[in-house]
Amino acid sequence: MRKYIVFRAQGRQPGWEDRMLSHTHSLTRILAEYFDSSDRPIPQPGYRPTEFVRVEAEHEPNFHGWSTHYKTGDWEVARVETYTPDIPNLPEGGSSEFGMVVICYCRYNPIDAALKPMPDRQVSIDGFGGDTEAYERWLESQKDRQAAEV
Amino acid sequence: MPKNPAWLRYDPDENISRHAATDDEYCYEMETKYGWTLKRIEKLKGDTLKADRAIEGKTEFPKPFHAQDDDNA
Repeated sequence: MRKYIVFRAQGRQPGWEDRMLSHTHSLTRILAEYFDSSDRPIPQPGYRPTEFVRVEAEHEPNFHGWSTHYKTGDWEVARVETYTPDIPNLPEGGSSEFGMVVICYCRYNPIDAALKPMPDRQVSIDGFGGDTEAYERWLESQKDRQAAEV
Repeated sequence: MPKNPAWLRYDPDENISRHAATDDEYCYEMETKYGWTLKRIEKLKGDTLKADRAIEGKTEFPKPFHAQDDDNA
């Protein structure tokens, strides 16, 4: 069952004025969201969502997205609510996008977690939506790029 | 366990994996196809690969059969 897991700050938590959706400039209590198709259990109180960090001095545009590191986060789940769709199987066929929505209310409880560098990224044909030609073109371009760098 | 039985190289205790894609849609497709937990998608600076997703656990793609043959040669 696919789950949409939202981590939200509880009320009266620090930093509220800096939590903003960048495309609308609306303040938000959303801290993170996971899309979970695994069979792992949903987060429970005490779970800390992963926090992604950018260390400016170590950011390499050709290697990183925004984040350079990640760590066990400073927010801790305090309470969990779950919601399931009214109609799991849609009348027009198929099923709802999520089998469960999970809201995790979090409190700020910082810890001194170690920063871990973001790993190398993997590239596969799935990242090209199964487009074999596009994937092979990209592989060729990487060979050309490596040859140019030698 | 991942939904795809061919997915042998997956360890949920191994922190974070990164996978690139040309479109954010493919990030979600892979999450559902392989039974992963997608924690984040970031924008990549690139002409082709434009999305970078962070996945819970260590994920490795099985080698293509011909590459395995090469290894065993």
